Amino acid sequence: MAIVELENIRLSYGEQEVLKGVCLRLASSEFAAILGPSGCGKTSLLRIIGGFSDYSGSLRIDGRDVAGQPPHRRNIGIVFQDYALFPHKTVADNIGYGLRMRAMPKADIDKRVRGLVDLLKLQGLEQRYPAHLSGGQRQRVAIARALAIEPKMLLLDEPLSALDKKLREEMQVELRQIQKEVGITTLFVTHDQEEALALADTIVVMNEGRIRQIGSPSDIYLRPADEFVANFIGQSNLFDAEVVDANEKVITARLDGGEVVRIESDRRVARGSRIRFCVRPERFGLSSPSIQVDGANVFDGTVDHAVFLGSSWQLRITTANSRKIKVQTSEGRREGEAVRLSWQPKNGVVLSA
Amino acid sequence: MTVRVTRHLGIRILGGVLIALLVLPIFVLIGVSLNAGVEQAFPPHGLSLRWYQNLANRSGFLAAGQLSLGLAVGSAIISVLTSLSAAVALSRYRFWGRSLVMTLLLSPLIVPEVVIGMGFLITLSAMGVFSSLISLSLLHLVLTLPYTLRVVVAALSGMPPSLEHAAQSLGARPVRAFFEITMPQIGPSLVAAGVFAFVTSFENFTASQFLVWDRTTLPVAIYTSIQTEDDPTAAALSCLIVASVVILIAIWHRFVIKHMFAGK
Repeated sequence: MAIVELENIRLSYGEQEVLKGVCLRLASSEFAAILGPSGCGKTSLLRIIGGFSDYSGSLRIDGRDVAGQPPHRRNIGIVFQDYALFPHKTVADNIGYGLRMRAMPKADIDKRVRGLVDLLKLQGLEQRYPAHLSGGQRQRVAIARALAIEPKMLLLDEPLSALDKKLREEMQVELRQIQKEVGITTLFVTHDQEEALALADTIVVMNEGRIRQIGSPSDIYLRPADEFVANFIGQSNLFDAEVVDANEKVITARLDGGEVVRIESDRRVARGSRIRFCVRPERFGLSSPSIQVDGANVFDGTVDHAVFLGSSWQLRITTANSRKIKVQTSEGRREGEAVRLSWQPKNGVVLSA
Repeated sequence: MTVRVTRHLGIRILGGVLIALLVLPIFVLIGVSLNAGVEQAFPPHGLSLRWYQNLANRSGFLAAGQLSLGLAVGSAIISVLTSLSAAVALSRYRFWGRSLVMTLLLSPLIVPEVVIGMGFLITLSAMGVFSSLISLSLLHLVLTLPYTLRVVVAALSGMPPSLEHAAQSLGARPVRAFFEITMPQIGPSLVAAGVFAFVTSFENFTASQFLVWDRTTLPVAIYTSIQTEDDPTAAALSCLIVASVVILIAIWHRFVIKHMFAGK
């Protein structure tokens, strides 16, 4: 399966720069998600790979620059956001359309269509028209049709956004299974962080036409590169501080409220410089104010807001110098209760400016 | 579809009067055409089909009918094809002067037909064109374009671009994607546009009457006939036209409308 390389891809519509130099490399059989808010340029990137948009920079598929190659020669399967099923063709004819374009003998087309109907569990629907399918079935047909041409890679544009929550979760599992089974290099675009975390091997976080971070889902979540990623994926508490001391492993910093904390980080920061770091809400330990927690950073405060979410509690804690901290914990706390928050130096992540 | 009938008497009466006003002249026309006497009289003096037979003696009507039919079919086809090309350009591409082109193509809708007819008359005679066939063909193309263009632009704008993109990503050349994917979707609209154009051309009187030099169209021929003759032949002809329209509409409903919604 194909290796896809994007180098310094740029795109402007008039004055507006949509993509500001995107570099990305997808390994063979990799399942990558481009995650970002609407208008970040993720769909433009997909259109460029599909051959539907101009760009500058270089786009190589299997080492060959595909500039100027029209969409119908690219052999890339695309699942569109609205599925784009042909309304006047049956499910079987939709799936077989790309094979017919390749002038494949009818018997072979039928055989491959049957295989895909089985793979996507569309049995019995072959002769239906798209208008008579449910949302989930339409999506399966769209995937089957894209896979039928045995494409070099698969592009999916917000593939699950039109489905309801329950169906979406089922399709996530299934999409992942199919991708593993077929082993196709896949790039899918989404604004839904849960979807990206659940599906992809690699997440590419984009904002305002630039890639902010590329990494595995756990990388992106546990070690966000900058403030945008920290805020966009999951929740986080941000702290501003001044570096008092730093070595290769540990940064000691004084928060603007006066508390001194230690953060494990291999970033090179100068003494006296300012840093911003984040701590995820579920990385805090809660204890009574008098208890000593070895090696941890501590904040004392009171619970001013507590919400029970079923599997956990969400608390808002105000510290002595009126800093508000979001905490997620398995133990309940009453509003107004005094608590000691502790967090380990390894759980603080220093962000790029 | 549920039809709710109002119980208010006043509204019922008003509705009845309006329908009567629409239908009554046609009944009167039928009555007149069946006259056994020689006048355009209603109620008819005795029943007879002689004025229908008499149509055979009026070769002028036959020639006019052929011209009108030819003009209507021809301008419907050319107008739909022209609007299709124009609509592809207007709805897919942004180019300089785009809205000007659109406005110009739709302008015959707002210019009075008398003005259009006069304009054609003066321009064509200045150019030395005195063939009714050529001038009427041009005129009817201009008159029908606004209708067909509107219908076709609306149909194309309603097509998500992803459909053709999907076909292309599956290996269809852009032209093939257009003909295999987009055309079947907008086909019913093209037929509807063609019918609009046909009717607009076939019934046109005001602008056409300026250009009937060597040949004449049916509406103009009927008008001329009732000014010079007072027998019911023209009424018989009108009834035949009404009958063909009714048959056409019946066929339209039976086949086209049904076909339009197949697979939807």
